Amino acid sequence: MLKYILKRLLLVFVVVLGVTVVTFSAMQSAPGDPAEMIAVARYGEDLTQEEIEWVRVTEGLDAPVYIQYLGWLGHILRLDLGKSLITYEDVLEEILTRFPATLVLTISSLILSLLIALPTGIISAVRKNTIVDNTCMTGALLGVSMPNFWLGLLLIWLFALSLGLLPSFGYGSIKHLILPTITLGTSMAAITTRLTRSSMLDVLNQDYIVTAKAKGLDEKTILLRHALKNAMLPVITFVGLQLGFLLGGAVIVETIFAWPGIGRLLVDSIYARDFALIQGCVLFIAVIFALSNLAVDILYAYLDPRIRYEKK
Amino acid sequence: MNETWIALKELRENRMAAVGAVIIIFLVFVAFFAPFLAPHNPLEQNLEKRLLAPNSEYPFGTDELGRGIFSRLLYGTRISLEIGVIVVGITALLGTILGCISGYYGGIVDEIIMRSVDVVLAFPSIILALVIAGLLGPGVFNLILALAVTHWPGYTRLVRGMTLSVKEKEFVEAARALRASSFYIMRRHILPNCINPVIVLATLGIAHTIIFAAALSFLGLGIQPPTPEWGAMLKAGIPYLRSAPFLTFFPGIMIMITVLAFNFLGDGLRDTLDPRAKEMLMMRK
Repeated sequence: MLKYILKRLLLVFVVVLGVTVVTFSAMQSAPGDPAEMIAVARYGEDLTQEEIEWVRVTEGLDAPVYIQYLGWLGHILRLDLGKSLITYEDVLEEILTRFPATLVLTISSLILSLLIALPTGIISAVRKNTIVDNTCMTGALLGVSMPNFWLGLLLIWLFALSLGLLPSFGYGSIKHLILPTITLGTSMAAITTRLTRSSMLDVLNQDYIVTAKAKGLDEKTILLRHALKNAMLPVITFVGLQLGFLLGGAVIVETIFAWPGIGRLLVDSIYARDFALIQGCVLFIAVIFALSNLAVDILYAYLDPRIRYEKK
Repeated sequence: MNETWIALKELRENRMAAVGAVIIIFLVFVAFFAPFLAPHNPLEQNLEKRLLAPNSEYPFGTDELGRGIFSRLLYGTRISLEIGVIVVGITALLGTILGCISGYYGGIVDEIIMRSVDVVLAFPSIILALVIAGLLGPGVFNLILALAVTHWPGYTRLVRGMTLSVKEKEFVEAARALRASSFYIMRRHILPNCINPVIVLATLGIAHTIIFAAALSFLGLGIQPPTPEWGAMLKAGIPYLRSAPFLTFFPGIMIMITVLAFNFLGDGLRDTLDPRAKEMLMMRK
């Protein structure tokens, strides 16, 4: 088990290193002179060439690309993500103040999605090819196909503007959390429902379920004692992987509802072309995503010993 | 190909897939004949007629600049389908080739390709697309590039897995014994075995790409106004959500119908062509 964890950790490290390369080269590929853009963002349009050169030297933008990359990597390893190019705020600090809002939103959405998806998926599987199943699956497919930015706008229109029941944007109370959670949670629920159903169907076709039926156990016992436990394994993995989906969805949902999380921070920093902040946000999100995937893998290997032996 | 034809026949009996296919054919028709179908010029502003509710002249009303929403939606079909098909065409081709090479040769080549896949998948895909599109600046080409970078790994993983299993089959060994070249073996023996799952993934990929493209345009990082793109139209409608909600209703409905149609067809194809593609798709999201 320890060997497995170490191997996975090494892989995470390689991937994160790759992530830094991709992030850095994405910044490099941006058109325009970064020194000039920083100077314009800070001091306005009226600039002399000397002022631009001064920014270039003080920001270290005159060095060769690989030196810039290594220098940046060195800072990252010391957990220094630099300062915002525009506000001079510390990037990591800024991210950490914004992250709790995203965490609250993703966790509440995750809970909502599981509350919808697990019962629906299980019922669909048990009542396969009935009206119940078809209705649930059509609903799930509708959910997958509905752009969540549109759903968010519709919810604002209905509950905030037309009925006046809930605030359309902002942060702070449970009321503010409801609409963003529905927007983000339902789109994830749709996907999880489909997975729960197919995982449950797989398990229900296994020999041991047939045996249990042959023994004359009642349906409830078979479902709860035998099927559910095994069917949940892929669902756990999937839910872990879905954290990335939630973080991605949060970008859009936070933008619509003016939710002060890291997703909105990222979008705002892209609008402002604040490179240090963009790099910081992307890196932070990718690392969180990688670590949560690692945690899920380890949990999965712990729950299902077959995995450990297969991957020796 | 024979198998594919049999599958296509089965597909006709799959009601959802048939519905999806009919809607897609209809949308393609709309995209082609938009100039003949649209009652108004999608770009022509008419400030005296701005924000009109749906009426007999403008079936879906007019937007903030007095342009007919119905006509703009028809033209929007073109852009969304184009982007979906182009992105999926590029990524499916590139991803398949890389996956085939990776699985066939193994070793260091495999290691490099698969670690690249891991790195791309290490980002939530919308975030990577967002950052690339945001940094390169708005525009069709940059949007396509951003979507292509984020969408190829699914095909690579799928095709690699299939190549690994097909490679060990006797007919490949026989071909090798006859001194067939690697290229010949890949083209004649390995790729034909991968084609069905790739088709499934590509169909569902179009749905995914269309939503992504609309999302990026919605955030102002994709297609720019005045081009009639559904996501950008949604964005433009936000300030008028209270007074003129139809600006927001109709583009969203178009996105949903289009995406739903490709999902219907993709699901149907998967059931008939290949059950294995399902897991790959789940891993990709």
